Amino acid sequence: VEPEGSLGPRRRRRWWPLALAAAAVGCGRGGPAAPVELHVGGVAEPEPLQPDPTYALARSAAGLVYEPSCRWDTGRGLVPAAARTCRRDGPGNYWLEPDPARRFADGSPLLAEDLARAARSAGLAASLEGAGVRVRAPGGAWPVEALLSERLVWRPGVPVPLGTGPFEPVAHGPDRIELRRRQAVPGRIDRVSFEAHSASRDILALALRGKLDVVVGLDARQWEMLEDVPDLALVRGPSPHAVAVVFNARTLALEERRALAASLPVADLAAAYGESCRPAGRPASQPVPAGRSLRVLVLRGDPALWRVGLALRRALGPRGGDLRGSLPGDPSSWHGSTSWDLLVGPVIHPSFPGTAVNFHSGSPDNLSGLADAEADAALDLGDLLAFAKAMERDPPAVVLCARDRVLAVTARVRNASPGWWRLLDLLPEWEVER
Amino acid sequence: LSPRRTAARLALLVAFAGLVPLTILGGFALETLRARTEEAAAGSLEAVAGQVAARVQAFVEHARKEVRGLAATAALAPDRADVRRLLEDAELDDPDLADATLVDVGRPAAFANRIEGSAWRALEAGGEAASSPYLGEDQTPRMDHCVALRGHPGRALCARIDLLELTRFVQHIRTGEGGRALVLDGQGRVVASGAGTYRAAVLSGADVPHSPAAREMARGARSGPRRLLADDGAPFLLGWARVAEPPWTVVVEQPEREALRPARLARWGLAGIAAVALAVSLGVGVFGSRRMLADLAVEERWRTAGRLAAGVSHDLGHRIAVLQHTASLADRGDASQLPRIAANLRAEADTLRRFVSDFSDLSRDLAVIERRPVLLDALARSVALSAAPRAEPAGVRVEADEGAGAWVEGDRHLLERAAMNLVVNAVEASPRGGEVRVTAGRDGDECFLRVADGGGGISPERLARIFDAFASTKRSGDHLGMGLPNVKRIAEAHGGRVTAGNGLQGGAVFEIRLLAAEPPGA
Repeated sequence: VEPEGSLGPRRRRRWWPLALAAAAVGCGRGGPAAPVELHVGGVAEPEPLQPDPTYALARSAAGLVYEPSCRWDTGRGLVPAAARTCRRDGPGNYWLEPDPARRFADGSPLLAEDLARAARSAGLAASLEGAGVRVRAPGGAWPVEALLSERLVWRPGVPVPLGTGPFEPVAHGPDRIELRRRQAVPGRIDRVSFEAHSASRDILALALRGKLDVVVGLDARQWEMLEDVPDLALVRGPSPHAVAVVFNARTLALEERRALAASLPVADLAAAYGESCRPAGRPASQPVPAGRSLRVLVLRGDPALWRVGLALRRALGPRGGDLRGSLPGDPSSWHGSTSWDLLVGPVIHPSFPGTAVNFHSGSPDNLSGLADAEADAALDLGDLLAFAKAMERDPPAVVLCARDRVLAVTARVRNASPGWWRLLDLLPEWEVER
Repeated sequence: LSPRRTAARLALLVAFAGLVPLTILGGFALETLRARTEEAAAGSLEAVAGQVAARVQAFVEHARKEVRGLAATAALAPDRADVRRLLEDAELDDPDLADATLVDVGRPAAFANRIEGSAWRALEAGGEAASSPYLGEDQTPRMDHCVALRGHPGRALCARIDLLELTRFVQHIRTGEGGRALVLDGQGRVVASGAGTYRAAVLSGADVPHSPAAREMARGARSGPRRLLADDGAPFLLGWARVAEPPWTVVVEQPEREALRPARLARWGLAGIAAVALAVSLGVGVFGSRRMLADLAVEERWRTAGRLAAGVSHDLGHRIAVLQHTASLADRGDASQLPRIAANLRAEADTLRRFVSDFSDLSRDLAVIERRPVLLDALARSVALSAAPRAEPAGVRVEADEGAGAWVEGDRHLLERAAMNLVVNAVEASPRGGEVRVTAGRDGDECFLRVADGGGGISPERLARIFDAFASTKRSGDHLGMGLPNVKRIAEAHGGRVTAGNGLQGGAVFEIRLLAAEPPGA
């Protein structure tokens, strides 16, 4: 799960002294400029660089070294990334053509076989066809669109697999990953080092002492600590994540799920989460139906979710029953369990094909336990409109709001913004004051 | 001095004569302004600090009231099953409360770690207990508060008061552009800081420069220092306020540079105005002085021309009268008068030659003179010899002192004419049988040529104007009153000076003083 949080208004950047200083330095020096290096720190488990990392910091680093075949664009669908062509030939059926200009870090060209390897590692059926690769969904939890935008292209290499991204690794231990840009671009970042810390206190202390250029992985309340810190600006942008109330299909019948979905005051529940979540804004259309008391489970890890749980229990009125939090790090408290009826937690937003990870019957992270053939088919085909209709007919969850994601970035970066999928996807385009 | 430089000096003199007192007055006014501005800024900061302190106190008091209210409600039926839900819902109603829990005072569980033992005793006595602020797991500040349940001895309701809203409030306080607020607890630890630089101290609990004063205020001091240096050495103005309960301190600070900007602007403004005024007064002064000096020069020229004309007409009139008298003698045809007529004509011719010579000296441009090494000893001897034929008929001896080795650089002809002028005057001033002594010598860096006579000396009133043109007391004879002015011009043209005075024996003493030079070939 990507780090996210909420935050206050964007800090005013005092860029002009830096600009003047940069101009003075630029005028005074005739030689080449020193490389620009960013130190990125985040709360994350230590993890070495690899094409398929688990935690946010290593995911961000991997996104700079490796590229997906195609990238999901909220307006245009799949768009080319490492591939030159991402052509949809039908539901769950894509033809990818490698970009001949793309090269791995050792200089070798990207081949169709590399795209096929990445697709196969994601569980997709891939076969060479013409100059490209035919990719099909074999049926399962993940639709092609989500898998292709999530799975990174790599080729075996030593000491780490090779990638086609703009950066290459210099050091790659579990606690620290250092990258350098393969081809220097004027005004852009040349080197990035990632440091994983287990405690947010360490991250905050480093950031407040000016030792970090980019901070990731804090929760909504902690970001406030970094407001108005000299030379550090908080930036935020949309994420693929949402906060939802998930119905347990193992304990709630279809009619009850429908009635509950229509009776939940979405805006009020979203407001309980806080400002960093943009409410879906649907008002309750009917009162909560009578029935037994409903047990609410809140996924731990984000204190704001607990408040949503409290608000949900109150909204349920007399039916609001036991409220408890999941045990940290223990999926058995919710996975496949009948000990809860409603779950408050983060999900992949249904406007993105990756939402299948939460709602496809074949996904190990299928929260509701719902097995709806039409919804599965819609997700398999990447047909989000059909999935939305299936959700209305047989709702596995009600989405309360779309969450923002936040970064703290040195004010030297002029156009910093978080990536939509991976946090630092846009870092190669950030412009830096030297 | 040229007229231009004289005008500049005059203008400078006038400008600075006015500027110095104005500068002193302005400096005093500016210092007063700075002090008043600092006082006003500190007063404003103190007022803001007071408002923040009131808000902080209201926030904490409100949260505590909520806990008391919950405790009162729970006390009605502490063992009912729905009490837990009531406490959880309180968290939803008041975002500043969390983990409201009923505890046994003897076994307070998690809250015991934060609340001191003495406070627990107050709780056992049916009162309240509170912890100091601390950081929660999510690194945001909070404090615990417990209230004994009435009617249920040994039981209490505890809750965590979330200080994030308070922190947010403090972080958003601005005074000017760089002014921030800090809240410190009784131990001087930072609870909340608007200044990002001090926020690390919230995490570490380390002292900040304000901590000692905050501890003093928690012990009862009324205020802290008005001025403090930040960690980076930048001076800040401070306003302090005390929170009554909890015993916290609020300080609002603003960079001194920013707080005193009005005074600084006034200083620069006044300095600019003074500079412009000085430049204008200098310009106007120089321009006006030059015009005035030019007018004065014209006036002086006319006056000099008039004086010359008066002198010349007087002297020439006298000469004409003598020549007319000589002509009348010649008209008589008396051969015995021929020697007298011839003597008269020679004397008048000599007088007129000197007249012309003096005028010639007066009109000569002394700005360009040819400087060569001149031995004043030899010059003295030469002048004494030259003056002897003129002195002997008057019964006066002219003696020269030699051997001093006084070398100067100058125009020998001009210096000789100046010396001769002095010697002739001295001869004429000396009584018969008297002596004129010409002495050359060296006195430190200067050489002098001294002419001393045995006459009656110079009266004090005459000494003051003795070197003025046409000021001679002997102008009725063959004196034009241009000799001594010429001596002065010649001495000054050589970078020297001429002095006049009376000797110990009573006679007049004139000295030409020039800068000494090395002997040729030395």
